Amino acid sequence: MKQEVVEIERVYARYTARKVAIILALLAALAAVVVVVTPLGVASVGWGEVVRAILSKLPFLDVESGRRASIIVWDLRLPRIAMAIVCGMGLALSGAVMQGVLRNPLASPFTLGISSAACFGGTVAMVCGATMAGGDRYVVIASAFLFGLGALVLIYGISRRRGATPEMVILCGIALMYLFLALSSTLSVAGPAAGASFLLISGNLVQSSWETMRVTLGFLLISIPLLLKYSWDLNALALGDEVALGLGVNLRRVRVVCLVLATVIVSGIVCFTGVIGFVCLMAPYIARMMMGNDHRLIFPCSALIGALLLLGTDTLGRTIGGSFEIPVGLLITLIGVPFLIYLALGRRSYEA
Amino acid sequence: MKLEVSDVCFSYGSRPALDEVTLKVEEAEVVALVGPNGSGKTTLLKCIDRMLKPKRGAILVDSKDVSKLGSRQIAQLLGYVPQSAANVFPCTVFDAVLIGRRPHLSWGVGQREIKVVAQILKSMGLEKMAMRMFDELSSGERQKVLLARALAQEPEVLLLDEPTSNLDLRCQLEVLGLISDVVEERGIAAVMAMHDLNLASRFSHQVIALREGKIYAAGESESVLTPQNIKAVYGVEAMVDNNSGRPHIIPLRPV
Repeated sequence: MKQEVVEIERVYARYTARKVAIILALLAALAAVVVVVTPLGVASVGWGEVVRAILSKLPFLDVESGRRASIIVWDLRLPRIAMAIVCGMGLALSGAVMQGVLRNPLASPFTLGISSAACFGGTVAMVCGATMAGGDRYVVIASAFLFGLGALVLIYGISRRRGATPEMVILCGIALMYLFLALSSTLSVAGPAAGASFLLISGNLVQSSWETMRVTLGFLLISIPLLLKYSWDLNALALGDEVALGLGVNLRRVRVVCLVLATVIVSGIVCFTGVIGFVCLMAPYIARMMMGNDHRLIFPCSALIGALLLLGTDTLGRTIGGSFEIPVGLLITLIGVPFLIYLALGRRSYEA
Repeated sequence: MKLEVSDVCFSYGSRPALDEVTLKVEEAEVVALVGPNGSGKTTLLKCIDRMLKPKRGAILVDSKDVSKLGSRQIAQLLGYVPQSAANVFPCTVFDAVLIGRRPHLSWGVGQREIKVVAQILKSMGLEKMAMRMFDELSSGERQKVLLARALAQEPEVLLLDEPTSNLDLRCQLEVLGLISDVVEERGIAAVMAMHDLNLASRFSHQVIALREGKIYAAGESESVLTPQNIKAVYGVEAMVDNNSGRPHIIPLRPV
């Protein structure tokens, strides 16, 4: 008897160790991709130049670097790569949160229309004269957040209705997504800030800089500790409201705090990049398959997969077309659509 | 005394659901709540677990007033087993049971938590399925896992909402047998809402019949499960055979 108890413990320890190993492997993969991707692009730099440009900025090392290489690496490549990583992580995290809270594997800021509502909010602010420069950008982000929140409240209300199925919620979300995309397009075409805000629609990372990255990262860093704090509550929620209630989970607080944080993260991304879909749907799904039902691990795993996906796709988008760039939002759709169809067809049916 | 419920009243809006319910459950005692749909069985269980807040009355677990405890402390005293659970996301049986440790955890999972879960799985004969996916189990297996999850809370009182609905004959006996064993071994108490009067009579020490939110009859199964009471509570004419030691109920027709 004692023997068998030890056996279960051993098997579970191995299961946990494997999950941690996967996360470490993803971290290593992300580092490797950054190294591979930095020299790639329209303005080419060699490996040696990249290394020298990076070392030259480090203190206490007396390494000289050419001015051109230094500008390409530090002002073009690295901020773009950093922005792709931060945005990928943020989108994946917000998707993981929304899936967990709504107990719906098809949920994400994209499929619930929250990204596009936030995008519309940002566009409205820009058409009204706000810009993404300096402190003004927080006005745009706040406007994006308010519209995102509006969509969230609507979707949440629908999901709480008696007899609402996960599919119903997603259908309403996709309807909202089209509504806000159409509204954004209309405003962009008609409004005075047409040039600037039209960029928002296809979803791209062209406007990346250290500064935009810092803003987006800020919102992410504020949200992560709270989300991790609620990990166990989300684990309990996965087995149903009654199980969670019976374990002393404050359902209302968990739902409101987590969904609002996810919307904050999305708003801080969408104003710089426009709507980039599917990352927020695919990354958490894959993470859940590997991590089981432990949000303490689902969150980091999902964030790393999101970063890899967005960085990989964005690099492809800015290199395969030669001198013109394919927006990452379009390219990710090519991967995302088959994935969504697979999800819709292959998923087991729900119970209770 | 493990559980004392005194004069509990509850209503959904203006519709009364429980009216001055009073009951006592001792250590190692299993109580069956019977009564027709809407008679207040589930509502009573939820009031005891403070998922619903009673309008009046007091609930004491181990002489502690539940209304004065925090949600985490309540979850350490009372384990609730719902009729069914959601299973949307992939989750191993071990992790599903581990979730029951939440009231005892801060954030990390220590060796002690793993040990508690492993021992519960082993004692319930679930060790073979520890690494299987919860959503791939049969409904009988799933019910056992939900019971294991509530036991992982190490509660003083188990509250079970129709633990045998949707189960086949063999699983009904297995699940109720597990509940009896665990209540006896751990010296805890269990209150379970039930539809099957024969199972209620066989697996409980005390039967409480609810009608329209009030206790109609309470006591040993022989005194509660009588043809008169069954007629009054369910509106069903029944024959009761007391020859086998426990009352055996044969329902005849609605009246």
